[in-house]
Amino acid sequence: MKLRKVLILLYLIFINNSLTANFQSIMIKTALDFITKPNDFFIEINTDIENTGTTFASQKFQIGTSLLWDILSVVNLQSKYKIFDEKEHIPEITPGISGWYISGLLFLPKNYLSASAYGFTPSLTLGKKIERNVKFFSGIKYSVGSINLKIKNLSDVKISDSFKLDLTSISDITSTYKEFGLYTGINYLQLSEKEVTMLIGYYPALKKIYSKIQISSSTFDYGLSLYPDSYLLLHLYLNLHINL
Amino acid sequence: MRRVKLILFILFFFIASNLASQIYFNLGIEEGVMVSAGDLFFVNNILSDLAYIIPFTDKGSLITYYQLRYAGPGIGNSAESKFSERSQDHYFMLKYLWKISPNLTLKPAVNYLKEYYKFGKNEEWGQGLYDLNKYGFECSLNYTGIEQTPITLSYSFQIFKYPNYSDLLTLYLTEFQKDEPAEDYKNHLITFILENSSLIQNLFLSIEYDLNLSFYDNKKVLKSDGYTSNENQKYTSHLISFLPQYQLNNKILFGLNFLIEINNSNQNYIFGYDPQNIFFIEDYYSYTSFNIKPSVTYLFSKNKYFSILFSYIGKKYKSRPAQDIEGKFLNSKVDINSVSFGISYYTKISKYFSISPTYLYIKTSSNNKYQRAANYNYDAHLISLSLNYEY
Repeated sequence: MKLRKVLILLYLIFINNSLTANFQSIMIKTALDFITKPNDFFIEINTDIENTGTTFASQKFQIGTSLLWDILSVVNLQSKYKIFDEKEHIPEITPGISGWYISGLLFLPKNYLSASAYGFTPSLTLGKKIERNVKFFSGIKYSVGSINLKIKNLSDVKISDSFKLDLTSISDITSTYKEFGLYTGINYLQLSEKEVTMLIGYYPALKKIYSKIQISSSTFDYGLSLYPDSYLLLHLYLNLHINL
Repeated sequence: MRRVKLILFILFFFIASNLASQIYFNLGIEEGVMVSAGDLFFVNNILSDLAYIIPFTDKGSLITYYQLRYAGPGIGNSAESKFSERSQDHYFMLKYLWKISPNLTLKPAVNYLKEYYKFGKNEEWGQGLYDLNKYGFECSLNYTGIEQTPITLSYSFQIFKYPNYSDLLTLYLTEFQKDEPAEDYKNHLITFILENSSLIQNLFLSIEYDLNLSFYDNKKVLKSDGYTSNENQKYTSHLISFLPQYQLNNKILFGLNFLIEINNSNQNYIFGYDPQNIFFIEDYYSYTSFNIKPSVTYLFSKNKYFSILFSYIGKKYKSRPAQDIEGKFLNSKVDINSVSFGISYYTKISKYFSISPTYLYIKTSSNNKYQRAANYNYDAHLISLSLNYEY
């Protein structure tokens, strides 16, 4: 499918250029960015994982997980349920919830680090059919998360031969976020039973914009998230879902 | 208060979406990589439009419109480089379309723009020196009584407010007596557009004239002794654009954008911080700019085309002296010349999706070699891919 190839091409342009341009510099910047603004990083995980919008092909219920994040030990679940079908002047109503927990942090050596990180997002989506196979939707969500990182006995962390970080002064990174978000987009169900979704979202308090392009089949979502003011601009994601 | 505004905004768009007879939705993203002087920059732009058309009567309908735009680092649309600036815009507009007669339509509108602007990634959104609130009212009249020659006349009044702006140099020169934001101004814009598609077969012509008058609220004109006069800063801009498009046959389309801008300002400039040792330049901001953009488009089909783009921008300041690389003033006035060449391909990949890869080379040169304020001498290559969804 052409669109899927375009998404992969977009991603590769960025990743390749990032890696070949100045990998060390980008890694250092990203690490420092994470230390100074951990919430930004976790909001992006949260946004990657949540699956806001209407259910696939107007199904009643959808439950799934973001596989790429599962592989990276971020266990997660996303579900949505269409409680009301569209009627005249009343849109389709789909509440949903997603959550994640970084299970990999449990296996960190306790002598050096102890950490926990989790988040969840309830959402409410209103959808309106504007053509036979095209549905316009808008929604609101509330993203909540907590990150707790305790660093012990760390000094002279070697990032490369020429660059070491002394983290002895950093003992604790504790952060929580509660962010209200808005999103809107369009679903287009193609004749091949593949649904294409394009979405734009915004966190008003953070003034953070994001965008998603997603191709869904009855089992998988292949997607690309774009965070224009982030060091890692593009995130690929792959969701597995079951529809009822 | 902010939450109340947000809830009202959501409610308004929710009600509008249910009353609307037509919805327009557009979402475009552009991702690119730019190389200049061995440095690599990412370019990312997002543009999303959402509009509802709500019919009231046979002759009147209301358009509610919201636009969200993010412009990341990249080559700016002027002659100067903009390699790290980024901005996000939230633009709201309510426009009423009133068909007074079959040939005459009146379009009054109110609009509001909130722009966040920052010079680099590490600045916080909402704290930018040039964050902007713009409040606008406009009214345009469209006449279609002459066959294939629509005429539009419009007037808009805009209030520009920069809530975070402060100017340390002015504060110092005025001995910290004036601390109110000095960049706020009011603007009157009168636009006349004439279009024609009947004069010569296959030629579409558009001529536009803009008169732009801006008056600053508090910003005073600087005097040669380093102090300010009682006169407020103002500027007048005349913009004439001539946009012909000629369709040679079913396959080839020629375009030419031709723009001239004459900008007159009454503001002066002072170099140096010691009132006993300053360098005064009168009429620092007035300039004339000339822009020509020819293009050729080859249409493979209705949904696929290839374009060759060229652009030249010449900007000459009336009185601003050029500086050498060390900052020493020269006798000549600043002029900036920017040439760009590009190729672009557009194709629809499904009913609503299109992609467009673009390559652009830009070379800018100037007799002003001093780079502390801005870099006018650079060249850059830009490769980008844009993906667009339009309904």
